[in-house]
This record gives sequence, structure tokens and C-alpha cells, in this order.
Amino acid sequence: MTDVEEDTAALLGRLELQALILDECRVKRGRAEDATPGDVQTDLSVAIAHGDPIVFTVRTLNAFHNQADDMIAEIEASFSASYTYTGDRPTERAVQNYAREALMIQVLPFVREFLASMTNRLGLTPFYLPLFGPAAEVLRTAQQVPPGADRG
Amino acid sequence: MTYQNNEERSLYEERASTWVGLLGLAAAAAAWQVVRLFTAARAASGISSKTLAERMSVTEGRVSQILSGEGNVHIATAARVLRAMGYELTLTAVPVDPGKPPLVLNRRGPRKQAVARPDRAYDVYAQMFLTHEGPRAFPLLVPAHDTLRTTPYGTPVKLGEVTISDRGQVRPIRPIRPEWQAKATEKPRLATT
Repeated sequence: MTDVEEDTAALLGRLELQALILDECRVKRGRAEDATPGDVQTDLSVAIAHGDPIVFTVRTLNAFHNQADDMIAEIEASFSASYTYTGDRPTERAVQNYAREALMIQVLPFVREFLASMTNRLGLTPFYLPLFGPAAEVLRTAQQVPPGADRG
Repeated sequence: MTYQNNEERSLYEERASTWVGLLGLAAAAAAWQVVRLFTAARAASGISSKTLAERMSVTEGRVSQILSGEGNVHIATAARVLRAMGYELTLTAVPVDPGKPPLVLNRRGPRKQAVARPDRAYDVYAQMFLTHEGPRAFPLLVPAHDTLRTTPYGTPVKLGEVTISDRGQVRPIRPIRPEWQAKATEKPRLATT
């Protein structure tokens, strides 16, 4: 285990989630006239404010396209997660590593639920953000889903 | 053969020699038993005719008729009277004819063997129909591989395929509607601040 991983592992017990709020939300309508579900482009980024508490701002931008690749809608949202810590001030690298790994376990379910709710309210097919690609791939292999049944 | 021709036969045997007489005797015996039950129950409960009439919501005259077995007392009436006096009527039948076995009431009948039938496959379509609100799409469930005729309002649009089991469980074979295609979310990008 490297030094950074040790730092992150130590942070798991030291950081405590105080608040997780939906900070901003923006929905933009596209030019598509047909709302048949197609590709979804998802971008997920985290901005970190190293204060006390440590505030992670998780910003998600999702562009929904139809089968003809015209944009149906774009949903942008940011969630703020405030963490207090005990002990010494954590290093910047450990916090960044924490943001890549452990933070997502607590925040992504809220993002996923938000996107499913918003797409449903917009009259679209509910969109459930697929999580943890490699892990899901392992599960699919274990279940021996026939080729072609994989819908991404 | 008549009574006069055979003086050794009793009146009972004479009556019982025909089916009509035999059944009449059985009915009379049952009616007599019912009256005996009424008499015994009334003596044991000590209930007055007035109270009995109130409980049964009938007149005292009707109670008197019932208790004396006048007319043809229904089984339901007999059960009501006895219950009003604090007793419950139970019925039983015993074999009389030789060779008849005693009745067993709590025996289950033969169970029907469940025949497992394969699930039936259906296609799910949306068909446009002209309603008073204008053209509207309605779902159609038709046996798989059936031929559909188009209506003046367009060809049915196939939405998916389902199987329906004997118990009514519906399982989709194909997705009813297209789903979003998105890559799995694994790790976020760290924004530069």
C-alpha cells in the first residue's frame, strides 16, 4: 500500500459527512423533436474547497440524445457535500484521492436518483446512471447474459 | 300381497315394503326426533315461550307451532330454535341398509393433478384508434406471430414481446421501450480550482 492510499484509508474514519445538498440545477431543452432514448453523455467532476469543513462540489452534466443523435435535453446539477474531520488537517493528495474513491459511494446514489426523477418529470424515459462499469461487467459475466443482451 | 293375506306382517313392515312408505317412515322418525330435541332443550334451558319468541322475532303462537312439530319444520328453523335455547343442531346419518359403509365427512376428494403448461408468448402492439378525442394509441396483446390487419389509422407498432404463464405472470422477452445508452460512471474528474 502506497503512502497516498494509506492516507486515504485513514481518512475514511476521520471524515464525517455533515450535509449533502443539491446546490444548483439547470435544465436546457434541445432541438430534437423525437424523444426516443439514445445516447447519454455524462460528465462528472469534483471541485474541492480545503477548508474546515472540507466541501466537495460534485458537478454533473448530462446530455440526452435521441436515436438520430439530436439533443433532447441537457441536465446540469451540482451537489455540495460538507465533511468535517478530526485530528490533523488531511493532506491535499489524500483528499483528492478520497474525492475519486470514497466520496462517490456517498454522492452518486443521490445524483442517480436526481437524474431518474428529473428525466421522469420531463416526460422522458427515466435515466438510471450506470455505476461502476468494471464491477458491473464482472456481474454480467457471472450471470452469463447471452451476447447482444448487454445494453450498456 | 296385502295385509289381509299375510297377518304375520306388522303395520310397520307393511309400510316399509314400498319405497314411498319407507321414505315416509324415515321422515316421520326424523320429525319425531326433532320434537324430542325441542322438548328436551326447552326443559333443560327452562326458557319461556315469550323469551323464545322475542329471540326469534316471531309470535308466541308460531313458537308453539314449531315446538309441537306442527307442519313441516325446516332444518334451518330447527337450528334457530335450538340455538335460541342455547343448543346447536348437529346432523348425522347412520347406515341402515345392509352393506352400506358409515359416512366419512372429513375425507378429501381426489386432487386434480396440475398439468404444467408452457408459457404462452404474446406480442405487444400499440394501435391507433379514432376516438371522440381524436386518434389515440391503445395497447394490443396478440398471440405471437399472429397476423394483424391494419386499420385506417395506421399499422400497429410493435412495442415488445412478453410471455404469460398459467398463473398470469408476465415476463418481457424484449424491452418494451428503448433505453438510454450511457457509459458506466466510474471515477469523477477533479476540477481545477
